[in-house]
Amino acid sequence: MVSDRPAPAIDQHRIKQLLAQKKQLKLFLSICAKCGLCAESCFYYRNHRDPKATPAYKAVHSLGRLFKKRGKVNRHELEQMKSLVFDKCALCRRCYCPFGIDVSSMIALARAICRSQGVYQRFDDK
Amino acid sequence: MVNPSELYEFVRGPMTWLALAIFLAGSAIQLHRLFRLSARKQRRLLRAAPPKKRAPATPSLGQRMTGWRTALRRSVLGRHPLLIGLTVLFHTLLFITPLFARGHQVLLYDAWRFSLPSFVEPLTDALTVAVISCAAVFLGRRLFSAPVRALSGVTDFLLLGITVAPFVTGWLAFRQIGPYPQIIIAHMLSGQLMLIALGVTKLGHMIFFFFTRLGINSEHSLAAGSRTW
Repeated sequence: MVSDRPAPAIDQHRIKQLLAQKKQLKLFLSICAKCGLCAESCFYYRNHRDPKATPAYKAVHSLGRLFKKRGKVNRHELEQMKSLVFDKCALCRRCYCPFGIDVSSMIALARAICRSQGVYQRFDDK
Repeated sequence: MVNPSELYEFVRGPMTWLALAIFLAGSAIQLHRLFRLSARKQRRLLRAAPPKKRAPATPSLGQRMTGWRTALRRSVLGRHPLLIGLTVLFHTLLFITPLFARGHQVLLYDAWRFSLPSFVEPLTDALTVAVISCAAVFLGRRLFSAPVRALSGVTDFLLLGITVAPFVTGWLAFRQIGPYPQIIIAHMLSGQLMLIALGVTKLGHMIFFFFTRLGINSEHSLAAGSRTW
């Protein structure tokens, strides 16, 4: 059952802590040339042909946004990320990148950050 | 009003050194950051079970071919052979065309009494056109391929422009199209802008590519891999 209680405030300090643990990923995100060559390696993209489901798009608009805003995000933004990192990625680790960027590690961290703020896949969502 | 010849001397002299210094310092800082952040390896949490001891079976040629085909199909090369070919060509020419251009070697000889071998001019001309054509294909992808368009921001178009501008202006100068003094100054300035961008923007992948792909022991590098995060 979906709870009617108001969601707790976002703990931006905790998000910053989680981001600081994996600073390497920020560097690798900054190398991404946005070439889009990773698109065809994602089975979700290949089935749905949704331009917002390519590995690079998911990483840039979830973890990339978190790094860019230094963790200062609101619940609405995290809810938007939820659809990218939980619904559109199965963490199957089959995505490739010409630079060797590990996209699924980025999605996994974005998921961890969302979960730390109580934003996660709920199977009782309406 | 700035005197064109004074501007030319400034762009040829101090401005070149400044661009080179920013490129070298920016690259050194970025590389230092890359190594500092990748030095600590994460302990491996899972290990593959040791292989069972069996008499070694020699795979047939057919089995080997299937293995290779599967590996190729899963790689970016197998999925987009044409685009990868074009990318390799583009990046190789970006480097060798200006390096072996006759005009550049003449300038080098004038300055330091030293020069490298150079391509004949029609070859440099053809290679420049090839670079511009490759860039046009990449621009087309950014504009018309839905997944790439969704990813692209203003910076990505700008960086493509910065990369190709020295080649366009160089080609115009060589063909003597337009006012030569202004075009040659624009050529030098755009080259310096590219050099600066190599040091401070994501164009730094010129250097990073080799480290991320070969040097750093991460899971996806071609060197022996273990996760660094």
